[in-house]
Amino acid sequence: MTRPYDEIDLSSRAFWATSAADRERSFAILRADRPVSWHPPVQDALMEDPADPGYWAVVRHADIVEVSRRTDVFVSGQGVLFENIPEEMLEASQSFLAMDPPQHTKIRRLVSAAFTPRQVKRIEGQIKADAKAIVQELAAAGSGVDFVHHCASRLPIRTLSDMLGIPESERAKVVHAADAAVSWADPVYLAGRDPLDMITEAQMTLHSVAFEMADRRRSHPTDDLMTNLIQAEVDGERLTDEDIAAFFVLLSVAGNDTTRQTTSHALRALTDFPDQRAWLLADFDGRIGGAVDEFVRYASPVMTFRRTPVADFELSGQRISAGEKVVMFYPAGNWDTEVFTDPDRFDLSRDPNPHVSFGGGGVHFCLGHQVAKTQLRALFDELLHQLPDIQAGAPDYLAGNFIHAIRALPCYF
Amino acid sequence: MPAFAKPEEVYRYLGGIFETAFADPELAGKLAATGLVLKMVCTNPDSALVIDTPNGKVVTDAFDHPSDATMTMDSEVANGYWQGKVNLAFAMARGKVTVAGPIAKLLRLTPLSKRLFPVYVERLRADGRDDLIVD
Repeated sequence: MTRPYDEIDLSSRAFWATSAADRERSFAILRADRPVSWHPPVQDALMEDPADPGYWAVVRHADIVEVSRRTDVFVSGQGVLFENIPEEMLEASQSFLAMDPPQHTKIRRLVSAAFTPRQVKRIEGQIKADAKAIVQELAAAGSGVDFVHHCASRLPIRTLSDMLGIPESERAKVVHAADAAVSWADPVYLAGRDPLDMITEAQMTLHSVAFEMADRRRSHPTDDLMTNLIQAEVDGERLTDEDIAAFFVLLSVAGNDTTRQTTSHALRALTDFPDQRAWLLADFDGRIGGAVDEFVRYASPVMTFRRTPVADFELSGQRISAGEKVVMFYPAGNWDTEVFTDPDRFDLSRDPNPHVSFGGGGVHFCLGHQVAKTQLRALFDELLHQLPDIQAGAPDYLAGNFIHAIRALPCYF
Repeated sequence: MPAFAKPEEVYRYLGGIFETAFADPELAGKLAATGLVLKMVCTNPDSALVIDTPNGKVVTDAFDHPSDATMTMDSEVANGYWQGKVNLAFAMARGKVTVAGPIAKLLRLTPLSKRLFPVYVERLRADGRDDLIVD
């Protein structure tokens, strides 16, 4: 028996080329009437799978939280992206993001062990210094330049390089590969290349750098995160070089694009809501902590992640069979009026703000959320104080079903 | 990891994987749909196989045979890969596997190749070649 697809389209390239506000209109209908709905496979996937019957769309905040937390039922090991990607790449690039307990527990504990309080303090200091330098460079570049290129894209990769201790000689190569790894949905960046070719090449570069660095730190330990990753030991277990290389790719992607996009969306929102900017500046240090959560909710930088149930499950009254893909739509959860009053409003005083931009909780909750918040706090501290009049122009959005991306954003100050 | 001693073994076992696949109408159809003519060159011992998916053919000793993509690796790595013990992405980054040609096409083949791992192991066991099985 073939199950009919929902009349609301969430799968076409056209849907993902519309604006976030347009997409929210579809999500709102589903949240109200059909919170768990059946859809055809995503169009233009990286890998076509003729046997793929479709997926369940999960759009309510409460359901996203339930799917995220019920890791006993909804597993990640069969893929976490809306798209199908080769299993070889999953293993080599998504690290614990695409693992389930107990393997997930082991790797995440080992990686967490590398983030010692001393390491976190060191990283925080570097983020502040980097943010200051980046905004100084933006100021020097002059009003009218592209904010994404001159500011938003710069901090994440600098943090990553500093954190891991990537040698100066390798940084340009890593920046290029990390950019390529997150740009597969951008036809301009692809310029006719097969996206899978580009991702593979980027991944190989990142793996090679990670392998070389791991080798070097083993013989010459320093005070960076790479050294800690090599030395981390929990219950007699250590990370292999392959574990480290996969984590390195995960960091280059997950720790890169998310913060970049949130930075751009936040500048745009601070331009659109001058009252909120004034409110923030009236007590920056006292208010920025809560404000960054609203930056992250409003940006909803990661739009989709997938799970696969290993047992039949009933979610919001809908029976889901084992093995059927379940896709969570995070912007839909972040606009759920059951949880957020007036979600269209960029409200920096929103409290509580239980957004799902870092995930719906559970074991896969974003490991880097503190680093991301530190980056946003530091960068907007510098931006709003060094360039108090900074305004964003019209964003050039990038179509895609994974990251809510702004390709370019002119800024004026 | 164990490796092959003679090119004939490479042809029998690695070539045999695809001969089995081409004999299965469903798999043969999926392989043919990729349109890929893949050359697998092994060192230690030197051997070359061409997997001609559109024509459902395996060509042995195919050093000079034309192909769309060529993968080169030690036969030890090939033996491990077909038992699911080698990750292609990591092996490429380590330089243990080199690919000339469209990598994306090859990666799109990997879900199919995974279905052949048990076939390969079964064949080794049936031939009493437990020495080639990777733990």
